[in-house]
Amino acid sequence: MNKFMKITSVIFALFLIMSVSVTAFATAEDTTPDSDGLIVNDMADILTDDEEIEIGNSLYDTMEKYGMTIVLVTTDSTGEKTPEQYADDYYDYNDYYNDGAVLMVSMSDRKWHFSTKGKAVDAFSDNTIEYIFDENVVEYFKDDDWYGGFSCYAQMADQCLNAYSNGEEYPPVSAFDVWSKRAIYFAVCLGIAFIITLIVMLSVKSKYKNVRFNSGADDYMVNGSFRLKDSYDAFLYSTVTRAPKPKENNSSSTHTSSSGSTHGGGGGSF
Amino acid sequence: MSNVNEYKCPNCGGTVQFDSGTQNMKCEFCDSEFSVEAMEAESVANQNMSDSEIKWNDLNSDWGDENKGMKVYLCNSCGGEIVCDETTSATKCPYCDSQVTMKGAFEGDYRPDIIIPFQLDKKSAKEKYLSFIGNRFFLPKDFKDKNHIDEIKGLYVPEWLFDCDVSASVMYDATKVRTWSDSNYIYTKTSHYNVYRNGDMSFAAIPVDGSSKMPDELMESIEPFDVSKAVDFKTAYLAGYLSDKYDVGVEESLPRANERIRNSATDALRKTVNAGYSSITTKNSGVNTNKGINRYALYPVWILNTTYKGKKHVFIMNGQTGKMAGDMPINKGKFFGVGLGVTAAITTVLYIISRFFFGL
Repeated sequence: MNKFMKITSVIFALFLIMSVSVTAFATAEDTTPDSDGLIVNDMADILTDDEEIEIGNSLYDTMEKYGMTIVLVTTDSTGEKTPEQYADDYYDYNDYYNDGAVLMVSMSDRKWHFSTKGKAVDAFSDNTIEYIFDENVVEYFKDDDWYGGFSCYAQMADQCLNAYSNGEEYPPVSAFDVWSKRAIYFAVCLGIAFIITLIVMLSVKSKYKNVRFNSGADDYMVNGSFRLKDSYDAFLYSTVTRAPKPKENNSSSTHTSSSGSTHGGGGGSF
Repeated sequence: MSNVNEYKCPNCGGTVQFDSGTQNMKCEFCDSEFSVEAMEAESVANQNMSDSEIKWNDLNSDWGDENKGMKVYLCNSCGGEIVCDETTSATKCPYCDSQVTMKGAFEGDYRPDIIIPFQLDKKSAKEKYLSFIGNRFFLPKDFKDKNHIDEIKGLYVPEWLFDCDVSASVMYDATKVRTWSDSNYIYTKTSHYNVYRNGDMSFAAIPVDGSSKMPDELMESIEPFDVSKAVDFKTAYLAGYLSDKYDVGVEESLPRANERIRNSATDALRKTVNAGYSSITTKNSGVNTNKGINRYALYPVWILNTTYKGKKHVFIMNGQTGKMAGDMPINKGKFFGVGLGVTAAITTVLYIISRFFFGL
């Protein structure tokens, strides 16, 4: 790939030509930095130019292959916005595809947020995001290895979209995982079957051993003698408890951004 | 006065027994039938006319502790000595096979108030037993094939009957649970209620086994008896059957009756609590009985003893209704084999379903 190609790929001319009209609230649009059509927008200046070009090429290839814009923005601060709002708005108010995602890194408060949109919401499930970021990319960030983290991000996002387009899970499930999961399922099935059998067989057995004490004396209650004299049901108090919702495998939690579009994703600190 | 009552046929002098089919006294030799009342009157008249007074001999002092609780009676028919335990009130003379009733057993405190006469005879007891064990799958094959009943005994069992009015109140701790959720949390609201119920009810003729020899759970297994069919006690009903007198007193029997009353009373109140609650637990309860009276009754049962592989299996039948109870042996190999098969089958089905749903 020659130098010219590299530069054209980083300068995101495609979006300028497509000129997707974005209707949005002026306030959000005003405070959202312009991407200038960049896939890699290093406003915090933590990458060298060569590093930017290399990561940009990689993300450009991904875009060509899967029709989703996977982009990257670094900033000194998210300002008034939360990392989530900042990332959502950055993607919404710049001319990216309807399907795609952005990784935002804010240097002053050491926060990151990954925001997905359209098909990317499904492609990056909560599980997948936890694997890519919490278990891999953020580990680089903690060591201030920005280039390492972003390379990892570009590589894994590509792998994830590849798996998604083939209808597979990402991270891939190992054969050992599959078999150990099957073994657990089998054990649970066996346990349930054993309990059902135990109940059935005990009820059968009781038909062979029917000598037992009576619990009450219902047979001897004089017919019609029962009379309810007094009764009340008094409310005492109530308590409310809450528990976090269990995360479902392969599901993506979503929220609505300021522009009204639906986003998925996740974030945290490093 | 004789201590042993034996009813002689006024017609031929043979032994007369109570017949459950006709509810009359019947002579087993000449087939003559007599009413219970007539037989009683005849018996009393005969005794008044007889000169000899046979007193029972208490040999306790001579036999030491060995025969403690044993009594010796003299048979009216042949004069043979009948040794039996203190609580036996009707039996057979071992020498002449005559049905005899120990008179002393029902004198004074011991006289039963009512008796439910046998409605079913030995033959129907045997038939009921055979259909009860029937063609059961897990019954060892040789239990039925080789089964010969060791003995079938018709026995009058002493029972204490308790009647009372009950006033019960219960305080329940009840909860209603509602859950809902938003995107992040599941909320559970638990509302607590005090639920109070107070009610009256009456119980009639709750039976408690008055014989220590008869296991209580056996007697309770063949309940209920229809006490409305009971009649005033007459010794003549005992002819042809074994009979025990009580050796567990009213005071000792009362706690069992109370326990059953308490359970039924709280159950009846529990049914008035509507089903809208998620959980209902009893906080405290009070059950008061009043106008309690007790009666002494004799209830008819057929007892069938069988032996299988050296182990005794006792079956008992309600002599009035025919209700049967007993513990049958189970073919263990077959039982566990089927259990294993069922477990395997359910496991397979569940596993296939889980593979289908979770796509493993």
